[in-house]
Amino acid sequence: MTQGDVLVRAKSLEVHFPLPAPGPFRSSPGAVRAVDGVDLEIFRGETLGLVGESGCGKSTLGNALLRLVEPTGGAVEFDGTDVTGMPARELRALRRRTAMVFQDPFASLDPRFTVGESIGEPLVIHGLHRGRERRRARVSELMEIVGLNPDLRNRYPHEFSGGQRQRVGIARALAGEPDFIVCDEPIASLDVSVQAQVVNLLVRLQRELGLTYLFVSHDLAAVRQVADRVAVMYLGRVVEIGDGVAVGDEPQHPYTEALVSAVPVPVPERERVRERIVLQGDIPSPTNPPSGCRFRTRCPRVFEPCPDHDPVLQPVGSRQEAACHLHGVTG
Amino acid sequence: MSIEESAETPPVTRQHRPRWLETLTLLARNPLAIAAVVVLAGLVFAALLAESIVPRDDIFTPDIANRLQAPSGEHWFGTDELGRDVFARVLAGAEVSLRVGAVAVGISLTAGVVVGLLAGYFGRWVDDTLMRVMDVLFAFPALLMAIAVLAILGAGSTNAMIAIGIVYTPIFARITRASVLSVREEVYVRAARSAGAGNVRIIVRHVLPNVTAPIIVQTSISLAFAILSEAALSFVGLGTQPPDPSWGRMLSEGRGFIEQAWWMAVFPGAAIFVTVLAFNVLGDALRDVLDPRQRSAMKGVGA
Amino acid sequence: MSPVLSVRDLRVAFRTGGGLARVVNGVDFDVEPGETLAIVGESGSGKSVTSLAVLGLLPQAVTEVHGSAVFDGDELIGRSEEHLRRVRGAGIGMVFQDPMTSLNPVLTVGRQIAEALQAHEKASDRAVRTRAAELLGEVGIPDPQGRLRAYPHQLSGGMRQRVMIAIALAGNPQVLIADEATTALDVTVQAQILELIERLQGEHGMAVVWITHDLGVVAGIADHVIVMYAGRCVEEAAVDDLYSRPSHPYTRGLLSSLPLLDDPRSARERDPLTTMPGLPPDPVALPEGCAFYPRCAYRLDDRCKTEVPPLAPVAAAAENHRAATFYRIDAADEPEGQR
Repeated sequence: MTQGDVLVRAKSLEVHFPLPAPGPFRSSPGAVRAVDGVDLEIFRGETLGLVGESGCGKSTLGNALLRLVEPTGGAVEFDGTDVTGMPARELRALRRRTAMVFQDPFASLDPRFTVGESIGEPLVIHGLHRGRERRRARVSELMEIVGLNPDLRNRYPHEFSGGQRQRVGIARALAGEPDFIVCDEPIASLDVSVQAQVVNLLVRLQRELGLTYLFVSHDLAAVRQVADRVAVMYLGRVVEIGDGVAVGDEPQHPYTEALVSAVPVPVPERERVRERIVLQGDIPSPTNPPSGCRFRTRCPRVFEPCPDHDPVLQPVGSRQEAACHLHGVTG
Repeated sequence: MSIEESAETPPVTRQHRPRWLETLTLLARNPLAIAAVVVLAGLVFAALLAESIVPRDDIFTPDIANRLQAPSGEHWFGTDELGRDVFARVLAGAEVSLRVGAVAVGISLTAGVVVGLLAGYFGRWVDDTLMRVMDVLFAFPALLMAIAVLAILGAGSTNAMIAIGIVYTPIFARITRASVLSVREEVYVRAARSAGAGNVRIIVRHVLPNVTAPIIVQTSISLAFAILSEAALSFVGLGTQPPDPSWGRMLSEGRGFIEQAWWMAVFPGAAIFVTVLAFNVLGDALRDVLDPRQRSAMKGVGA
Repeated sequence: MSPVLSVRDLRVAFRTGGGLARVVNGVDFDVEPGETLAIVGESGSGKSVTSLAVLGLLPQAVTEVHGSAVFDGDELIGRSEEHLRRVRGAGIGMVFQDPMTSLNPVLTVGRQIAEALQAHEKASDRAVRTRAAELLGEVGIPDPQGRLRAYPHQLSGGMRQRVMIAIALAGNPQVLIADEATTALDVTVQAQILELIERLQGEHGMAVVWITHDLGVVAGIADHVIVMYAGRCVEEAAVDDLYSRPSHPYTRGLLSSLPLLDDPRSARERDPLTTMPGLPPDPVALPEGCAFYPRCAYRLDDRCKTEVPPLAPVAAAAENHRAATFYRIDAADEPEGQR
């Protein structure tokens, strides 16, 4: 993979959700800083895994890259074009080249659409495969690609299982032949025995169609299975990013280290002897993040510079970057 | 080929039937709902065929010789102070009542749903502006508002339709807006947007079809209120004008003769009562079968 | 030692619009004092319904429950609500998946713990308050006195789950049933809760029934495991035996379909995950023979299609490791096309 070919780039991206004012004549008490200064590059043809715990801003980041949530600061570039200020009409046209697979396959399909209509909707919107017969053929082809029987195209979503609905969602995402797909927790709502089917399907499609993925998940083991590179988020920031093997096996940020150690492994003898790093306390409020390093309130290795200096991502070794003062004080 | 290709299995199909058919099946389990549908179907039938069933003369032409006759084999509901057949006039009144009700509700349905969709979907200043106007309309007592509108437009059944339509618009707007507020947050709406759908497409294809259930219920109940309102407006002389038959007008005219000819007031009154009751019962039954929580409970118990 | 909870031939069916849904179809297990039994299965396997049936928490109007569940020498199935209420809490405590919906949003945390305490013994308000604060401290909530006045929405998910555990502990139960208790939590918070339950188990000597779909969690906490599929126990074993020698094709399929965190290969170098085709059966229309037959990679012959395989020892030497399959899997004997 040539590292030079950037498909999606986030520059100091911010998404702040203002809190509602407590009364008509009072000012807003601040904002939830869901994404708070993220720089990120996603290379053409790769899968970037994005992990973190609930509330870290990973889903918001995925949505902001597609402008499904409006960034409040910074910029997003898609294939060299700044999309942040792009007018609505141009943006809608650009959406043929991007797509999203959602977490909840029950909620992401319109209950009043047949699965064929759902899959074909992007074709209608972008005027692709015009004509009823041609569109029907394309929908059948898409259903076959994701392993669904095309004869089921006139059925409604409630007649399908979760895994099958997720296949419908994936077929819809593929309809416009996109370059970039954000997979937002695509297996989190599925049963264990179905998760593997969907993971394999996503990986196979990526390889065959040369897609670029942002794979957002809280499941580090699943991310390791699909992602070439992994980014770890904490409280609106990317704290570590790099090669999937390196981040998984030799985490350089104490938070990644704790996250990796907390993932239960299905091997009893290893689980029994494992030294778990149990983090104390809860994630601080993203409205008012701690000064300096955001992780310092829970970090087992906190030291003097942490409260005063906000660490920036810096290379650690050749395969990853981490934002931690243990690798030299920054910020 | 990996094994996942063989993941193909028939879907879990415990219910193949389309949703509307299932709704009707559930509705048919409720005897009250069936009774209401039968009554309403009879009324519509009567309204459509009134003029061919009963001679026009019976409705309009005075026959002073036969005035104020009690119900008999010849005049089932008796005759009024001008000797006109009350049965014929009640039947013809059905046409007036249902037409005024349907047109009035049609007006408020259309206006209210459009307002509710726009306010709910776009939010912010669109919502504030539209809903404040609705609040102003809603703040007046309904009948007083209708009387005020008729005072401006002049009395008559066409204007009564418009007046009643305006009065009930805020109800539809509020109900639509409330449903839109929850539907617009649905993931499938975000999914459509992520595929490049514009606002018009999202509103027409995704939002509107998913907010119909409460609107259908409200339509049924509003028909009852609209017919009642028409009767009330005609009663005070602002709705349907003589000699056209209208239940409200007949009730009002019959009031003066209540001691000599009870049938002049009782039969139109009963017609209003039965019609309003039927629409209300149907509305309640629809509410039950269209509410997803009620629906699954009903399916469970009904086995 | 005799088991503290003993379930025999438990059967549960729901009357639904589509017909009788047979959700639990003859489950047996024993919970020994102080041990951790894990019940593993996917959604619809009947794992949660089993525990709800034992405690009489299923809607009676649409449920049929048969079989036996003996707690501390006392039959629970078919007993009065009043009797079961005494058992819940004092004998068997329960922690559910979603701590937000299990807690009453309009009552303070202290009030809810106090209610649980007063349900079992009369005590002065002061004593109850002291004990409630003690319990909060015991489950690792900082500033327990202050937190008594907190409302559930003011607490994080992990803290709410700790409160639920405190409520479950209020009656000093002999058995704690945790139904997907960490599923809604983040992994780092899950680690905290797992550690907490382990510590409490050591201190109180209670048995824990851990109901989950997560084989990773089970590996770390369980002594004994039963695997459920379509309302039946398809395999049971001590935890080490189950993971080192999974003997039912379903257990094998589940274990090998999990992505491994510490596989040193990169994503591009890895093989696709092993998958099981298809879906669990519809409980309204269970297959006649083995419920796993349509998805089974090892399926033998017509016997699987017509006969339900009994739960039997996997080998003469392993009396406590039992699997409900006609096929005896040898480690070397992989079916074709699995990878």
